[in-house]
Amino acid sequence: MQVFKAFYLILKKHMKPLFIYTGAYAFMLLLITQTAEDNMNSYFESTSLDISVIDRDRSQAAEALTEYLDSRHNLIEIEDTKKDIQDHIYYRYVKYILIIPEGFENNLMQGKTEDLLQHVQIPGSSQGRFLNNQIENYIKQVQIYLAGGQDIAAAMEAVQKTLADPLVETLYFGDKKESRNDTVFYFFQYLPYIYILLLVCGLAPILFALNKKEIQERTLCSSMNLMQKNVQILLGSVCYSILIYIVFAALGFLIIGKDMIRAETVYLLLNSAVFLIFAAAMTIFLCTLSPVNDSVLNFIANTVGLGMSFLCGVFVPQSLLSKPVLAAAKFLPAYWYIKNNNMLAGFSEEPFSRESFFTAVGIQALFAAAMFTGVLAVSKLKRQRR
Amino acid sequence: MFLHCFGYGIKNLLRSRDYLFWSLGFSIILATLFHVAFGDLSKGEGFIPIPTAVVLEESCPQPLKDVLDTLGEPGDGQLLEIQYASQEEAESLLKGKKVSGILFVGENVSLSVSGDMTYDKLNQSILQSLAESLHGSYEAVSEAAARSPEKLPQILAALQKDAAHNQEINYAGRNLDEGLTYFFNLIAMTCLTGSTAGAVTAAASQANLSELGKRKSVTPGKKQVRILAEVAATILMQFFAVSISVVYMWAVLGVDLGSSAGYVLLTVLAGSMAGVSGGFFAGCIGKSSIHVKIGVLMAITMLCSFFSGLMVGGMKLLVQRYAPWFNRINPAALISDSLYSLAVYESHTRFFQCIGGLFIISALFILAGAAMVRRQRYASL
Amino acid sequence: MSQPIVKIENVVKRYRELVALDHFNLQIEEGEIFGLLGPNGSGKTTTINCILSLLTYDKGSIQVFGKEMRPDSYESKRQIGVIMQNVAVFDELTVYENIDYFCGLYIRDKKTRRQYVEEAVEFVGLQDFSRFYPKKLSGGLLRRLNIACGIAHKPRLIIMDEPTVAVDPQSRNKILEGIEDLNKQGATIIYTTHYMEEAEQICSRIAIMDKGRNLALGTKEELKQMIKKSEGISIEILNLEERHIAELRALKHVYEVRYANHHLEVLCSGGAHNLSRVLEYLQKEELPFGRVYSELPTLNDVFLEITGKELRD
Repeated sequence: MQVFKAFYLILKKHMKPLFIYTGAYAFMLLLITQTAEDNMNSYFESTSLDISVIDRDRSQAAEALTEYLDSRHNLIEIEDTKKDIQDHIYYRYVKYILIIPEGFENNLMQGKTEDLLQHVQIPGSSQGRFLNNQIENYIKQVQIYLAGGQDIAAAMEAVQKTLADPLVETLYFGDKKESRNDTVFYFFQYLPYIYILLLVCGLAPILFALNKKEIQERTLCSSMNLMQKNVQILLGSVCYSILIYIVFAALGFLIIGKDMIRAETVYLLLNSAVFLIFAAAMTIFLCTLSPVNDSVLNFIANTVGLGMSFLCGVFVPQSLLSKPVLAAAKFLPAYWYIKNNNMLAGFSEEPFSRESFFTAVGIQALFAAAMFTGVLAVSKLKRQRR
Repeated sequence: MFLHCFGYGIKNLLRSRDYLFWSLGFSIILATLFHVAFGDLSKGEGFIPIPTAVVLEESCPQPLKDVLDTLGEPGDGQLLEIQYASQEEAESLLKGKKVSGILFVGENVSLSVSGDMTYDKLNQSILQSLAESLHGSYEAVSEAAARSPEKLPQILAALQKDAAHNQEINYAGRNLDEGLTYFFNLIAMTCLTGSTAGAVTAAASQANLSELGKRKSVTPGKKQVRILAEVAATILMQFFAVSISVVYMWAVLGVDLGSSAGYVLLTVLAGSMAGVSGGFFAGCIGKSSIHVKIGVLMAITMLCSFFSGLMVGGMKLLVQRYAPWFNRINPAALISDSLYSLAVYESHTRFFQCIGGLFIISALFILAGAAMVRRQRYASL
Repeated sequence: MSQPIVKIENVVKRYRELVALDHFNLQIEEGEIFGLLGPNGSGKTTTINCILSLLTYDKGSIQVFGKEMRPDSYESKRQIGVIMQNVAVFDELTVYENIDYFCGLYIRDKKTRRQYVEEAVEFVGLQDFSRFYPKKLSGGLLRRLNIACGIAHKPRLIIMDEPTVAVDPQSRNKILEGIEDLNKQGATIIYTTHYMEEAEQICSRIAIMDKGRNLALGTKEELKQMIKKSEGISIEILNLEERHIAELRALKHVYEVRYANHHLEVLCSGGAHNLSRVLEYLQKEELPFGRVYSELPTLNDVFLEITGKELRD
């Protein structure tokens, strides 16, 4: 077990940076998980938003509009200065600022529509589109009542009433809303990125040290056969991976708590274990390719980690990625990992089935196997070239 | 002396092929992937009609039926892919995630969506606003018409009038799509990866960290001058590397970084400076090996980028809400904010605030680092 | 006589409990090749680093060219060339560029510099390799490059810290010849090593140090005279009785006789005809003997006698 022992002695030497990586990424994971609900829902939705209304008309109609928005959203007071308006949008204190210009009521009554209102929004944001629709809808209805000959107060009151009716009902087919806690799924969703970084940055330096040309040659000269040596290195990598796996599974239980104990968790754990095997195989493959220095290693880890994460829907939901991107992503294991995660969480159209779950797990395992084959092929090639 | 060291600093970095290749390749590969992944996010995907189940009630008035038919008519303007169904059928469709929602159309219009389809928020909200507008307008028209039937033509005119009445005030007169902020953050991260080069530079000039440092320390000439020259060379190289990837994003990928190339390059310069000087500072403190330092710096770079929203877009907003001061000192946030304000605002006040912040941070790091290496004798080597 | 080029007075340097230099004193005169000889860990490199003002020390003073040596003594530093124990060159720069870089830290003028660099390349015999990168050089050539980087600016004082460690014999001879050449051109040289043969070969004066102390100082002849032994005779002999050993010990000038593994060793102090006296005795006793060697004392003997241990571990 000489090589295995050496593996752990070197690992001990690399503990310090490893702790730093693990700490930093665990912290990142904790924050993402805790805030995932906010972030994932930030697209186009009907919850109430932080907005501001600047009333320069100070008329009855303007007040009614403000009241309507107040009933739907969270109004934040701001000063009517360009600087204040810009600051609030820039720092996202508010998502939308409606400016009711002078003469709003008059224009409304005369049926004028041009430049009736003004707004400032986070450029191009979906929240802006949403509020525009909402306000437009409101104004249009007021105009219909006005066209019908009612006065402005009556019209606005009528609109307020129709819009107050609850229109949307949310049905739950699976878990009840109260018992539903998606944190666990978000936690597992981000794991691929973290696994890749921790394995490439943590395991690769050890493998490099063991595979250094001089060391390699010296080991080749020794009486130990190559197979035995490789098996021991593999064993070391496996132990390292298990360590990482345990640390993050424990972290999951720590930050999610009792919600982690559910039927899906077994599947989630299995899914992530298989992905971890792939990440380890990929790391070993990278190391057989060529030894490089630390900065380069970090660059590779992040290119692979971030790239795969973005293409496969770790950071941006798969439902937002286009068809061709998703088609290409099928050639990356993270896609199958996320597919399983989405299926378990109900984040995708596909309802959960054991069959497709295990198919996706199998595909990830195949990727790992392909990497191992690559390792064998490359090391054989290298030996022949000697 | 300064020029001599500066020149050789540049030469030295130019020859570090592995490093150059990967620091460039890293951002170019990621930019390309972002472009592929977000191409649709920013260009506005070709709209796919929303699969919707419609449950028609007896009481449904004809005009509403007509509107629904128009919405579901195949063609360019098709908004809905309508499946008429009974309530039970519709619910089973929704449960099977075959439709995004169920519209109940009768006297009133109402909508049911599935709480299990969290991925479908966009369609759900479009359906919601459609339902609101159908319901509200229908209610308004019928109520107004009932009150004064003679004004029906005016009422219908009001209904059809294009409601171009809410004008967006945009301080730069241009729009910004959400995908762009990912590129801003990518540029920020690329700038900050210069920290590893900064740390290597520092280590190579410290007698207690490297053999080269020892040899340099026994030469005549001010140590600070030599070190400043080497840091300047590193910053310049980092600036060139990031500039190349920025040019790639702009020219090859067609990422719209705004019209003022000069200001964008200024941002890249300030960003590279912050990255390299931060790394230089880290390289000067402590006796940890360069491996440990590079590890720490890379972790810090990733954390900074994370808080500036590289991985999860909303992170910067959360920081703004709970710890706004951090956005003022996080170099990644400052870099992406300066690019953002360039793209969005007419005036450059905000831009220069960010750039100023970056320069201050860089100056502090360099001064602190230089102060550390003032010490030229060591207790042990 | 002019003042010494390097003057170390009473320097004490501690690394926590370990005393690396223990009230160390040394003076080096202009024009010498001064050898600093001692086993591994005896404080040679620490001494060098203190002279160069890279290390702080706890007590004492160090003067170079008659002025106190400080980190910013740029005028003094300009006249010092250093060759570190470990190779310190840029992997990314070629042989020529490396020498030019380091030379440029001392010499501003470009024309002079070019000339100096070319001379340095020639001096270490790397003309054919000037466009090579260090990674492509063999160990010996790399050492030569390391030396060229240290001496290109034609310093008045050259400090060499074990420049010949792990160098092949040809390169080593080349380096040693080079050092003598440099000395002939007027440079003073401080040379640390734990190879006593090297020190004997080139050094005009030698200090022997151990555990941070200066144990002996002088020319090699002076050092050898400091010890009792002036000749060592060893003889292969099959059977020797206690009686014979005692009688041998009683011979004139003999102060030590050892016998083990059929190998007789007789140490003599001074005097002539020691060998013939010993052989005479053996013939008289009719003791058959095999090969006979007679050795003059080496620096190793000096070291052995002063410290009681071998110079090389």
